Order: sequence, then C-alpha cells, then structure tokens
Amino acid sequence: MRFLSIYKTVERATPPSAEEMEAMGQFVGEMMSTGALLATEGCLPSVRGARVRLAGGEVSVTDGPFTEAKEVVGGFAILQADSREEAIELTKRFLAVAGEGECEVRQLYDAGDFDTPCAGSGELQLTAQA
Amino acid sequence: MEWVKRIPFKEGEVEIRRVFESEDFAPSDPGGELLAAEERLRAQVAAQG
Repeated sequence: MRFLSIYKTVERATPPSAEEMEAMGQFVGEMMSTGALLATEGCLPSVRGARVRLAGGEVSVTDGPFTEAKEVVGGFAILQADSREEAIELTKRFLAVAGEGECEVRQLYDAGDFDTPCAGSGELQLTAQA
Repeated sequence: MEWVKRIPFKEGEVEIRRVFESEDFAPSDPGGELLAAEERLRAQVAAQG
C-alpha cells in the first residue's frame, strides 16, 4: 500500500542548515534503500506559492504567503507500507528528524482500488507516462 | 498555475508550492558535498526503478 504523508509545520524563512540537511539526507537515504520511501520533497516558503480554488464554476487564485495558517505544508513523502500502522511508524521516525509539526497520513488509490477496469487502466497509463 | 486550472475537478482547492531544488541548498552547502550526496542518492533510486 502507498501512503501520502503531508508534513505541516510553522513556516520559517531560512533554508535548512547544513546539520539539518545532513541528518535528513541520511534518513532519506536509509528509508529509500529499504524501499519504504518512494518519493519526498520539501517546500520553499509559501510566499512563492498560490492557492487555486474552483467554487461555483469560478476559479479564484490566492497568492502566498499563507499567513492565516499557523502551520503550512512543509513537504511530503510517499511511503510504501504494509499497513496504516507501519506508515504511522515511518512517519514518527520522520518527525523525529524533521522536528516539531504534524503529518497527515493518507492512503493513496492503487489500481486495485478502482471499481471499474476503465478507471484502473487509466491510472496505469498515467503511471507509465510519468 | 494555468495547468492547475485545467484539472477536471468539480469543486475544491489546489495549493501550489515550489519545492527545494539543488541551488536552494547552496547557502547551507557551499562546498556542494551534501548536494553531491543527494545526487548520488537520486541516481541510486532511479537505478532501482
């Protein structure tokens, strides 16, 4: 099973220090070598982002920074785990390295989760194109 | 942002965020050692398929 783990934390204006980068790099390397971590990225400050909303057929765009939020998305990871509990354990290990904050852990759709063969094959096509 | 507007959702919100690229780490990694280690890791992961 694949899980998306979204890390939310208080926004900081400075990039990670050399020590933080080394610790995270070591952790990511270990997780990827075991196959538990499929992908991960860290977000630049929200001032360089935007929110695009579709409501009532109208699209609106809100530029960052997202100052109304106490915590903002700081990064994400896609995990491979045999259970939700295992994904949570992996996420706890990540938080021990990343620091204060919260991770939302969500199971992702896989091909077998779709009701119709059409939808499932569609997902496989997208994966192949990526 | 134009790409996001084309996603066929009926309702909802998409948050667009730029992710760290190699050059964004330069202030904390002036010698490039950590960047080189990351590139080795990415190559290793890509090779694993």
